[in-house]
Amino acid sequence: MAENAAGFSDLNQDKYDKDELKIICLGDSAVGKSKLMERFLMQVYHSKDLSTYALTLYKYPTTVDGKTILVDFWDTAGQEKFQSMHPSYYHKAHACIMVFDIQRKITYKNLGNWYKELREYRPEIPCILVANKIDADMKVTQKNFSFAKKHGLPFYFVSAADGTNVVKLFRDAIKLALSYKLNSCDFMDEVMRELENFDMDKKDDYSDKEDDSLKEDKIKKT
Amino acid sequence: MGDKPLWEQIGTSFVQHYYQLFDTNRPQLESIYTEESCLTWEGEQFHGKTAIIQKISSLPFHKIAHSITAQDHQPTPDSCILSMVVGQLKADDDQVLGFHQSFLLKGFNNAWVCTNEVFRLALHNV
Repeated sequence: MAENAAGFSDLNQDKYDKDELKIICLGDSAVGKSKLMERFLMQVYHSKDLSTYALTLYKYPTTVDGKTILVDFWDTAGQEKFQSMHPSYYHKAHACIMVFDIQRKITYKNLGNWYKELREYRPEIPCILVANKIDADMKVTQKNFSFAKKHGLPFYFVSAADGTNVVKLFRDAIKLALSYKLNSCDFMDEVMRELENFDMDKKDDYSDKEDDSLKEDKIKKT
Repeated sequence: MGDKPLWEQIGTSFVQHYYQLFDTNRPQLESIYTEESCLTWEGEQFHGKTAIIQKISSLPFHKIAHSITAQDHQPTPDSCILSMVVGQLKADDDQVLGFHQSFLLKGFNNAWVCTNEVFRLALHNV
């Protein structure tokens, strides 16, 4: 009991070997990681503030295929600017949500660094790429972002501000985490198939060369 | 100020000077180090003015503000000053984080330089 009050039991990560899922969030600061989580958890939600531990841990009980699961979403406090991310952040994670801000191209450029670090600690876990803040510029959804394709990542356009795609993103993240844990790639394949069909409506190519630029003037109308 | 011991006055002025420069113009901190200075930043070691300034200048935030909660200063037997600072900082729009920082100051050619420095965030999720 006393342990619970102090929050220490939450930092014991053995539970992630048993029933609980751990999903981490990566990306530059101010891309909207916390906002996305808050948006999703608004409905049910209780948050646990562990700010003295430099991370926020959101607990989310849910049901997948009739089974009740407890999911912990991990969010950082910005300590990554002073040190490389603490290994315990990655430890035992079952899935990763990697976020960039369509309005700041540097956050797209930095995905490579985040992805590299993620793969050093978690070579196999499912990782979802998320373009946030599409409410600011819906036209950006007409572009292809080559980073997702290059690394074979499911890719979502979302808006934490108006809620577009947020629930779908988190539901899929939970399913991917669960399928990873149960050692099956089925759902990953399903998600990739679904997103490929998505691509059928024509999009301009967002080539590597254009990775540098998220500027509106680069958007060509088809 | 007048009734405070000299080492305390020097330590306090140094601390004020250090964070003022850190928060506004990090490369200018160069003047407080020598080629022999040592910095340990979150467990990572840097030796010499150039390496230290390179590290401090390349920290990836656009703005930072420090707030000093407490500072302590002591004279050492070899006429140096040992200082420890406890405080809070805010980088960009991130949440406030606690930190600890220690300095060893040495009188050198009529000025004070920092020969040793250690920085840690006050985090406990180890």
